[in-house]
Amino acid sequence: MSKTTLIQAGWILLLTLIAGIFFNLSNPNRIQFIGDEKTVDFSTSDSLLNALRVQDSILKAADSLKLNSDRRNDSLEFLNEQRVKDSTANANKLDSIKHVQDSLKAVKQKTEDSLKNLQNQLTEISKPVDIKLDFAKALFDKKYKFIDARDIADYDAGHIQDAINIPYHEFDKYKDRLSSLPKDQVYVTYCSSACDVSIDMAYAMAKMGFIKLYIFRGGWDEWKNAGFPAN
Amino acid sequence: MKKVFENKYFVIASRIFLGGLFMYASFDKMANPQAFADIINNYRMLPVQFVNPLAIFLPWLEFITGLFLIAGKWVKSSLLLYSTFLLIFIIGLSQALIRGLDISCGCFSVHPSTTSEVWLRIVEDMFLLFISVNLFKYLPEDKLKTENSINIT
Repeated sequence: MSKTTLIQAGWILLLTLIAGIFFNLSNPNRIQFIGDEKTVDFSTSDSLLNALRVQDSILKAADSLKLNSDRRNDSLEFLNEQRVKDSTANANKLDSIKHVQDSLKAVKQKTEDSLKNLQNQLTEISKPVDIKLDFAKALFDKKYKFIDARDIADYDAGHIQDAINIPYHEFDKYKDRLSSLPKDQVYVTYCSSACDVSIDMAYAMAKMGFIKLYIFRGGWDEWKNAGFPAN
Repeated sequence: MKKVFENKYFVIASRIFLGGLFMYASFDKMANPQAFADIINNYRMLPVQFVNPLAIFLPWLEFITGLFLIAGKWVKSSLLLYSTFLLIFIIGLSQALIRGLDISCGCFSVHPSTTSEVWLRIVEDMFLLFISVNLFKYLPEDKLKTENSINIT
């Protein structure tokens, strides 16, 4: 290889550099010369899964508490009626029973309030959060909607059961479909495992006003390999 | 082999074929740099800071080398760059194939619906590399204008 060839190659590279810079500056679709790293909160996935499990157990506990409370109320009312019938002298005792009844109601109200708060803490996410396979499956089991951000051909080849296909590369075309979805619901975006369009999709949805977004970065490949429900 | 690659008409046809192919491949990437950057990122080979510069300059390198090949100027240096990048493409595609990445090649179009079998793209690139390397090997040296003028005097 001669020196001439190397010098000419250098000139070609210089030409490329100049042309690239000028074209990118004048291109309406220009991009940043140094791209930003796409980051998502990876660490919260496990804690979210645990929170979901805690939520389930609290809901179950609340149900049983409510059941017990209803039973107690019934028995208290029954007792109350009996005692009213038996004697007016027992009026003082009746007061104390009512007091217990009131405090039970207050406890019940507090439990319901704290449950609502917990639910809000779990799901009111303004920034999309990355999740792992187990949490994605937990959300799938809870019948939350999955958004497939891949193109139509990939979606048709196979997708998570009942997932909605909104190809990110044709986002504007499918924007109406997204607009028709309720914005306060939970949505999980995914693509294949080696892609970032699920992140782009989640952030684009967040900009549209969706507030409960999760990104399943393992995507279709991980879901398929796990043998979870698919179409 | 040498006879074929030294044949004047074969050399012209090969230059136009390679140059045309590279120029054609560059248009869509130039128009949609973000989509091309996403494709490069999906190869998971480069740190994120290098993705955008490559998405901006690579299409232009394809275009300019293609232009020089067709024009018949600086052919050897264009072939050198052409071969180097074909080699890099082959390495990139091969590692994606080995790692089982489901990616769009981004070879001729940035649109995901043009996804084709990765191994087929590797075979195509190897064929182009074969032509490019042999042209480079058997083509006489280009001379810089300055050197020519010195020789004349």
